[in-house]
Amino acid sequence: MQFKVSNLCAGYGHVQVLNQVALSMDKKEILVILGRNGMGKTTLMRTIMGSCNITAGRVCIDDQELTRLQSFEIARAGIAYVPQGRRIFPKLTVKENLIVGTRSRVDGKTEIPEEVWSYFPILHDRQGQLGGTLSGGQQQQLAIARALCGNPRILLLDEPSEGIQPNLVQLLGRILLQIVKETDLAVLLVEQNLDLILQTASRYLVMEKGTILHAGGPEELKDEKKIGAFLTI
Amino acid sequence: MEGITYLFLNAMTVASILMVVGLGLAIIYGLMELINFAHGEFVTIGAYTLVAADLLGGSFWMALLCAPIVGALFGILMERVLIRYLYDRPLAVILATWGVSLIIRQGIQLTFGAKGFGVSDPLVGTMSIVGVEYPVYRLFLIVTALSIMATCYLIIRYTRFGLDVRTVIQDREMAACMGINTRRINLMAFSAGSALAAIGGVLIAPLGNVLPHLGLGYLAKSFFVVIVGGVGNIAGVAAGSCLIGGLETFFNYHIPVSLSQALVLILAIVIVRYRPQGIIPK
Repeated sequence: MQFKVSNLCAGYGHVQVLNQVALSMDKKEILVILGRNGMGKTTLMRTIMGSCNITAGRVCIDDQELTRLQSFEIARAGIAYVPQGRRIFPKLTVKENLIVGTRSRVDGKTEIPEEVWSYFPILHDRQGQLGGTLSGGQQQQLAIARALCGNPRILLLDEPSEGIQPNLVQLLGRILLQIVKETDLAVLLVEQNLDLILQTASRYLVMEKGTILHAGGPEELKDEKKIGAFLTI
Repeated sequence: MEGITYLFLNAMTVASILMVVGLGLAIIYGLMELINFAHGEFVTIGAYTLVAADLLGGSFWMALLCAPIVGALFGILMERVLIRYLYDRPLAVILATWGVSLIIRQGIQLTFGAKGFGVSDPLVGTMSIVGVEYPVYRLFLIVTALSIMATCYLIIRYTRFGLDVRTVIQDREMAACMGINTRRINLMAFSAGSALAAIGGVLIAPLGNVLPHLGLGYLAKSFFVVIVGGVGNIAGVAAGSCLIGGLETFFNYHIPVSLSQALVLILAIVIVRYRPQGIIPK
C-alpha cells in the first residue's frame, strides 16, 4: 500500500490554503505533521477527505485516484478521519457510533470488529450510553474506534491529545503503536503534544503557510529540542 | 361531557392529518434543511390521485396504496431535476419550490378543471366510541395516522436507513466521512417526505371538496407543526400537530374560522418566542 499526495493546492472557495503539498506514506508508518496553528494542517486533512476545493494536484492510494471523489467514496476507498474536536455523533449510542463507522467497509459488514473492542475496553462497558455523555477522553477513544470500524488503510488523526489528561494521551500513544504493529494501517498524525509525537512518530514533516518546509526521520526525532522548536516558532 | 368527547375526537382528526403531512415536511426540513414550499402541492397530488381513481372506477383503497408511490415519484423527479443543484443555496430552494408549487397547482387545474370534486366516503356510518356516535371514516383516519407515525418511528429507530438518517441530521460532513452517501439519503428522504404528504392528501379528500389549491392551507400549518413541535424528531411532530390541531378545533367551535387561524398563528409565535427550539427539542 502506498498513499501519495502530490502537488496539492486547495482551499475554501477562492481562498487558497494549501500550496503544492506533497507527501507519501507506506503501511505501518506514523507520519507526524508539525506546525503552528493556522498553517493548513487541518485543511490538508479535510482536503484529503474531499471537503475542500482542490485546484491542482492529486491524492492517490496505490493506483486509485481519490482527487475528485466525494467524501463517502474516499472513506470507502480506505481513508478514515478523526477530526479535531472528535465530532462523534452525540445523540447516537456508543454502539451506534461504531456501527456508523462500519459504513465505509467494502464488504458491507456491520459487525463491530473484535479488535476494536479490545483496543478500547471502556467503550464495551459503555456501548448503550449516548456518545455525548462520555468524557472527553472517552469521546476521543470513541472517535478513533469509530474510524477503525471501517477497516481503513489510512487513518487521519487531527490533534487527538487536545483537551485530554496526560495519562490518557500516553494510553492513546500506546494503542496507536499497538494498532500499527498488529495491522497494516498507516497513520497521518497532526499533533502539538511533544510527548505523543516522540512516543509514536516514525517520521515528520513541518508545515508552514500551507506548504511542507522540512522533513525528518528517526534520527532527527531523537533531538527533542529541535522537534519542540518546530512546534513553537 | 358528550361535547368534550366530540371536541377531542374532532381535534384528533385534524391533528392526525397534520401529523402525516407535518412528518413529511419534518423529514425534508429537519434532515436536508430545505424549505420546500411545494410540500402542500404533494398533499394536493395525493388527493387528486383519489379523484383520478374515482373517475377511472377504482376504489379509495387503491388510491391509498397508489398515492404514496405517485407522491414519491414526483418527489424523486423534483429532487433530481431541481433541488440537487441547489443544496448550497437555501434561498434559491425557496423560490424554486414556490415556482414548482405554482406549476403543479396550475397543471392540476388544467387537467382536472377548477371546479371541486366530491369524493364519496369509503367507510359509511358511525361507530359508538366512549359514549358518542362518531363517523367510522374519521376513526379510521386517526388510527391510520397513528400507525404511520409508529411505523416511521420504528424505521428511524431500528433500521439501517434510520441510523443513517439520524447520523446525517447530527453532522452531515462527518456522516459523509464515515462512508454514508448523503446525497442518496437526501433523495430517499425527499421522496419519503413527498409520499407522506400524498398519503395525507388521500386521507383528507373524503372529508371535503377536492380543489387544486387544497394543499396550500396545509403548507403553512405543517410549518407551524414542525417549528412549534421541534425540528428533527418524530415526537416533536406529534406534539406540534396535537397542539396546532387541538387549538384550531377548539377555537373553531367558538369563533369564526379566519379569526381562529389568526389566533393559532399568534399562539405559535408566542410559543416559538419562549421556546425557540420547539416543544420537544432535537
